[in-house]
Amino acid sequence: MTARVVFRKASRWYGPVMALNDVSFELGPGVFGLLGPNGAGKSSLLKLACGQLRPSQGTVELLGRPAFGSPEVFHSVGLCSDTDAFFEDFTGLQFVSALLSLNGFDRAEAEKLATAAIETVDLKDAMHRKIGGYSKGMRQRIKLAQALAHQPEVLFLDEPLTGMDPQNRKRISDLMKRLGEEGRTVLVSTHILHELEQVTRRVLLIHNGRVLAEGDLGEIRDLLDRHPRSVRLKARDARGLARELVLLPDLVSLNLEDATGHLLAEIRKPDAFFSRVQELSATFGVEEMWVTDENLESVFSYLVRK
Amino acid sequence: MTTETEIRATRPVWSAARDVFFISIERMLPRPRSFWVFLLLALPVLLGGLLRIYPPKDLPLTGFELYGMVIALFFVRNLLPLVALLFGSALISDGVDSKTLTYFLTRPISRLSIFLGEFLAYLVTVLTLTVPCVVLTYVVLCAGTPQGLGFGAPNLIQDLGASALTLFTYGSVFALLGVSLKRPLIPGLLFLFVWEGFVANFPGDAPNYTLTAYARSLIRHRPSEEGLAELFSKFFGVGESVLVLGITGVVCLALAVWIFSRREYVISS
Amino acid sequence: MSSTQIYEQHYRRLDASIPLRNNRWIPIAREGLKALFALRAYLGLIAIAWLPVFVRLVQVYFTTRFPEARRIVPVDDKLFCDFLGQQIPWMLLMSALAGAGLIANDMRTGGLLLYLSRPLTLSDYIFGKVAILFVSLSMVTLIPGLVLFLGARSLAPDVLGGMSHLLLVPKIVAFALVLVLPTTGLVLAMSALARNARFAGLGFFFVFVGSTVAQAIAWRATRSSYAGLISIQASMRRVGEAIFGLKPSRMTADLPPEWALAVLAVLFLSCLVILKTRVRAVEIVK
Repeated sequence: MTARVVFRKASRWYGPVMALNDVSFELGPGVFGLLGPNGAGKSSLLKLACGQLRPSQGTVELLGRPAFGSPEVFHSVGLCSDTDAFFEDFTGLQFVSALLSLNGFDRAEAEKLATAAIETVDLKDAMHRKIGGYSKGMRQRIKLAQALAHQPEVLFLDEPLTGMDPQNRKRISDLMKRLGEEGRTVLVSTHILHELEQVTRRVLLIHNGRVLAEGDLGEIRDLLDRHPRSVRLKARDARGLARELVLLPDLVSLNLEDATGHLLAEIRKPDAFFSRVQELSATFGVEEMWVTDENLESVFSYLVRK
Repeated sequence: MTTETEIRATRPVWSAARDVFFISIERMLPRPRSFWVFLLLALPVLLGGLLRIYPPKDLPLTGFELYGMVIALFFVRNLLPLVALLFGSALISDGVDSKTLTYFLTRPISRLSIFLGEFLAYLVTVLTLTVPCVVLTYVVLCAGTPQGLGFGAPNLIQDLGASALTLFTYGSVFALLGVSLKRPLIPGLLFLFVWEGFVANFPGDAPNYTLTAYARSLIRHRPSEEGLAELFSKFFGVGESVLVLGITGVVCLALAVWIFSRREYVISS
Repeated sequence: MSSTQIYEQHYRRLDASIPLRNNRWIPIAREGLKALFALRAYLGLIAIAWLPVFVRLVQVYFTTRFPEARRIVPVDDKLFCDFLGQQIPWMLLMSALAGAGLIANDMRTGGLLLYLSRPLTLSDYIFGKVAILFVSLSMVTLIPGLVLFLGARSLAPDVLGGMSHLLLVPKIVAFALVLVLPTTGLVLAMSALARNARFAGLGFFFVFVGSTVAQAIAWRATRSSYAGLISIQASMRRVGEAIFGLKPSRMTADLPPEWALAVLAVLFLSCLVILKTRVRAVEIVK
């Protein structure tokens, strides 16, 4: 793996307030979700990652250089920040072109790249209009365009889907996935879980300035075997199945829902449970099985539970 | 663990500063605030026009003397330092207030380039607003007088230089305030009206420590002072004034760049 | 058949009325002042602006010990008129600090919408803001003026103790109002015109200082007292001199105080018109 973003025991505090506490992780190519509730430290982490802040302790490296004070890395880094700030009197095209000129592109090249990026975010019709007159979703997309336009290797996206309509959310989610598949590193910060699930399974869970978990969502979940997992089963003979399952040593609880006839099981060792269900499925007519809490919401709720 | 991505060097300072300049000038010059400042700087043109159209009886000053008073009192002593405070203190802090500084800070350009580009944009903006007003004031007050336009032309050139130097020096001082303080307005006003306003007219060597004493010394054809200023005003040689103003400007610029290069800007939504 | 109701989409007026409370501007003023009093710079500026009161009181005390000094520094109407006139620089700084952002910040951040989504009218909003600035400016003009009077009266009862000298109180109040009201209007108008507090504050200074410098030049060019009408500061001082019944200063010697007062009144009313037209909850994007 090639690490492009490296945090080593990085901490950051603002006066007496600790925003990030002893954070260590490495990011290579692909899309990564930075997940946490408001105030968890996501924005501080992103600001450290893209060199806007110095770590109070530890180190933060971007493309092999210290993130703070290494402007040269921004040839290959793009940032879509969470602030709704623009050069309001510029048109969309002027805005993206002007920022590309700062990357060293000449005028013609900058306009070409800017137009392509604006097309990517589906804003071509409005690119000659002043940003001051854009809607919230359009402003978000033009901000994304400036981050993408110079085709960076590393992209930091802070709440990139805010204010977008469902169609554009889908478009931008697909774009993020594609960028990850192309081998770019994309770190997407959000507190809306289902948005992230559509883009990646690789997440960094952060809460109160600490990274709670890092890795594939399923892997994280497997690490939490001590935490019972909820499974819902639909079977022809639910009562018979319940009589067998109740004998399993790692079963925490088992309920039969009167209204639906479904079995709700809480288990500690999923592999053993699934094997046993497999064996019993023909006998009791197991028709369907869902792991009900293998989504970000439940993992996150569990991890931050006090 | 290392990265495979090949990193290009930071862009050369002047080429990056040029690109920052083009963006900044676009954001400074064609703005309502520039228009209003221009109108205010053009006030002497209006007053001069009225005096020429409706000349009072026994006008005690010639047109050229009046022009000297306008350049010394209105421009160099009062309005240009205020213009410098308005635009100079906004150089970086405007980007922080509007939260657009991040766009510059996340590009492969050094902070020196950002600062230089913005400062150049400041200079071009304020000179674009000031020079026509000074020249027009001169023309309105001196054209058609017995002395004519040619008489004071060399002084006009000197005055434009003095105005430019005043804007440069005060701009550097206020740019330094802008990068150092979160709210530079009140300290800037205190500096202008308490320090510069009073100390420049103190007796003894006190005026040596004000910029306005050097700036006013550059206007060689100024009228005589009145009141306390007449008693205590101290004037310096042109060379000394240029040197002091120039060095102060450069030192403040260097300090501003040094602070800007090291400072973190926490910009959040 | 679907149970979904399709309603008419045309505008319907709500035919109900909820009586508005009285003095709705008070919470705006109260909260604004609370926020200002939490600023160290604000308190610091008030503290500095009060130093001249103590200097003047020392001066009055000095004249009680050495009565012959009264020939140089008399304890009379001029003392109070000069004192208030000398408070103008502090009033300007206070305007920039306390007033420049009052409306500009609300316009920039959309805070105005929050105000107007409450049972408040635009006039309540403006009045609340006027009250904040009025109190702030009074803290460096009217209140120190009155404190100076009370202090001087107790230090020099032989000079200021008589009933006739109580007339100084309305004079101080009147001159302070002449200083505070047009300044309040001008700062708030600037704040409504600019979306940035710094530009509003400096815009105010530009007008105030620019008009004063223009007056100085016009006077030296024409030697006409009417040049004083160009300057807000000169007009204020001229009205102040008339209120205290003092001899006008050289540059405004022949300027009728009524004219100066008219200029200030027109300025104040113009500023109110600007406020009424500029302060809108909805930004029109062109």
